[in-house]
Amino acid sequence: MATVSLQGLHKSFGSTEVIKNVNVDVEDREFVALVGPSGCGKSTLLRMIAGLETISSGDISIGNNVVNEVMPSDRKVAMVFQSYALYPHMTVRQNMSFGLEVTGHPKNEIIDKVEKAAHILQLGELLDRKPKQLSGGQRQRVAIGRAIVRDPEVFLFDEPLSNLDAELRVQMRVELALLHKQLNATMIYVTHDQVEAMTLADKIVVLRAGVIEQIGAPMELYNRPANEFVAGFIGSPRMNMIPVKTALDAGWKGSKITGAVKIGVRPEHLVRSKKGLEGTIYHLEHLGGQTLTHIKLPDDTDLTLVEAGEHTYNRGDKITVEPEAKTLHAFDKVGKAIRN
Amino acid sequence: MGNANRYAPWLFLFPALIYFFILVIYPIFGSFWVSFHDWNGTTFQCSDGRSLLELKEDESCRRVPVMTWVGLENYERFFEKTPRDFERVRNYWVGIFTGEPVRWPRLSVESKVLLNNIKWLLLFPAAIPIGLAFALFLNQSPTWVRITKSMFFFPFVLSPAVIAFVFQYFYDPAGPLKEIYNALGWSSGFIGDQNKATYGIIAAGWYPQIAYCMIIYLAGLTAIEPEQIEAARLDGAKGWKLLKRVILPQLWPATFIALVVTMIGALRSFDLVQVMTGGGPGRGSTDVLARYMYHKTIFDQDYGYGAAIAVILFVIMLFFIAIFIQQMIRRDEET
Repeated sequence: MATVSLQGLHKSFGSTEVIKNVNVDVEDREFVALVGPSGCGKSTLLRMIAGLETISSGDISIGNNVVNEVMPSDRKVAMVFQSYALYPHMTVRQNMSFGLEVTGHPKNEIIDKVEKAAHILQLGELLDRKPKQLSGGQRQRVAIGRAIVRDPEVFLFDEPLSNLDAELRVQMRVELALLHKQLNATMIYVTHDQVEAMTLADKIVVLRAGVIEQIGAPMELYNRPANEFVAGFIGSPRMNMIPVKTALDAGWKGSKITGAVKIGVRPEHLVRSKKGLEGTIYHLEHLGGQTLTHIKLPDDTDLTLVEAGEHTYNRGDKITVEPEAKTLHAFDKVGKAIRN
Repeated sequence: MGNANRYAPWLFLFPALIYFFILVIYPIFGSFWVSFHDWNGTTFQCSDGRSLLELKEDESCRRVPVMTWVGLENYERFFEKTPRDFERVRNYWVGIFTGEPVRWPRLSVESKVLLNNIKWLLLFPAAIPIGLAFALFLNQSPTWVRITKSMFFFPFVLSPAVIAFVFQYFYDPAGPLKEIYNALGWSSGFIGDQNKATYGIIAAGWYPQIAYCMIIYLAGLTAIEPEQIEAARLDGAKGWKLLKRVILPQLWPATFIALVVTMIGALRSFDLVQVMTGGGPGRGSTDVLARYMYHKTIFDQDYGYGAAIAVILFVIMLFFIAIFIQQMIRRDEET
C-alpha cells in the first residue's frame, strides 16, 4: 500500500484550465473522497492519477515515486469506472483475469487471485457469465473484482455508484466501506454525492472549477466549512443562507460578527420558537422520520427547517424559527467563513 | 383494434412484397425456365402457333417467345470442358511443384470465367483488413485526422465506371506506372497481359471496397466504449494485444457485414471488368460470371445459355448466403 501526493497540479485542455494548482496528500490506507459539482474537474484529477490524462504541470507521486511519465499499467493503481467498462465479450472470470494474463502472470497465480477476489465479492456463481447477464450491482462487483486481482497500491473509483438505483447504492456504500477495512488499501473516490463522501471517506477534498475549496475530515467540513460553497455543498438539505441584516433584525444571537454579510444555519439546527424569524410555509415534505418545511421570509429568502417526526402544518401558515445555540456560520462578502 | 394489429404489418409490407415478387422472385424462376430452352431473345410468335408473318394487316395476337426446350443442354455446354480443364490446371500445379518447366494451359472461356471468379473471391476480401487498418488509423481525434477522413470516404462515392476509367489510365503502359513496368519488364502493362489482367482489376476493385469496409468499421468502432479502452490500458494491454483481445472481438458484427458485402461484391463483379477490359485481353482472360452472362445474352443473343449462367451464379451465391445466415443465427443464439 502507498501514499499518494499531488503537488502543484495543473491541467489545461487547450486554453481552458480545468485543474488549478491542486495540492493533496493522501495517507497510506486512507479513504479520500473528491467531491464537487459536475464539471469541477474531480474526474479529470482522478484520471490524471491513473495516468489516463497527461499533466500540464506539477507532480503526482505514488509511494514516494514521481509517476508523471509512468504508463497507467505501471503505476500500481486500479480504477473502477462509472460505466464499469467491463469487456462485454468476456465472462466474469475472463474480465477479472485479463489484466494478469496480458502482464504475463503464471496461470495458477491468476486462478488463485480470481478465486480469492470472487470470494471476497461473493461472485463465485457468476464467474462464467457474461456482463450482459448480470444486474447493475453484480457488474459493479465485477468491476471492483477486476481491480482487486491486480493487487494495486491505490484503488481509484470514478463515481462507481451513480448508475445504481437508490436502494442498491446504499447497500453498495456499506459494502465499499467494509471492503476498505478488509483490503486495508489506499482509496481515492470521486463522487458528486456528498452523502457518499461523508459516509465513506476519512478525508474529503471539495473541488470547485478546478480549485480545492477545502480539505478535511467529514465532520470537520460539516462543522467548520471554510466558505459558503463548502457550507452549501456538504450537508443535506443544504445550509440556509440569510442576509446578515435579516438575522440581526430577528435578534439572532451570534450574528453580530464584524464583516459578515451572510449568516448560515443548517436546516437541522433550526427550531420553532416564540420569537425570531417569522416566515410563511410554502411547501412541506414528509419523509416519514423527518419533516422538511420550506419557509419564505418577508425579504424573499428561502429557509428550510428539518424536524424529526411527523408535523402537520398547512401551507400559508406563519412560523417562527431560531437557531440552536452556537450553530451559526458567518460568511464575508467573498463567501469566506469568519471564525471567532 | 385486435384485427388492425394483426393485419397492420402485412398492410405495410404489401407494397414492398409486390415489388419483391415482380422484380426478384419472378425473374429468378423465369431464369430457371429460360435456362432449359434455346432462345435468341427476339423471335416471337402468336400464342395460337401462327407466325407473326401470317397475320393480316389489321389483325393482332398475343405474342409469345419462340423457345425450344433443350433440357439441361445449356448446363452441359457450360461444364463440358470443366473436367478436361481441371485436369490441365492440376497437371500445371503438379508440374510447378515437381519443378518441371510447364506453361499455363489453354482453357475454355467458361473455365477461365469460373477461375477468375475464384480469384475475386480469394483476393477481394483483402480489402477487409486494409479497411480495418484505415478505420483504426482514422478513429483518432486530432483535427487533421478528421479533415483527412473525408478524403478516405471519397472512393466510396465514386461511380465504379469512373474508378474503372481512372485505373485504366493509371495502368496504361505509357502512363504513370511506365518506369515500374520497364523495371519489371511488363511491356503491356498490368491489364494488358492475359495472365495479370484479372489481378489488376481486383486491385482497382479494392480501391472503393477498402473505403466501404473502412466506413463499416468506423461505425463499429464508435460502438466501443472509450472507458473500456482505458480499462484495458490500466490492465496493461496495448498494441496488438489490445486490438486482438479487446477491440476485434467487439468488432465481430462489423467484420461479418464487411465479409458479406465483400464476398457478394466479389461474386457480382461486373462494372470494372466491363469498362476496363471487356473480358479480354484475348478470350475471357478477365471475364467473370456476371459479365459473361451479360455478354452471352445481349451480344450473342444466346438467352438460354445466359440464363443458365445466371442460375449457376445464383446457386453459388445461395451457397455463401446460406453460410452467412447460418453464422448469423448461431451468433444470435450465443448471445
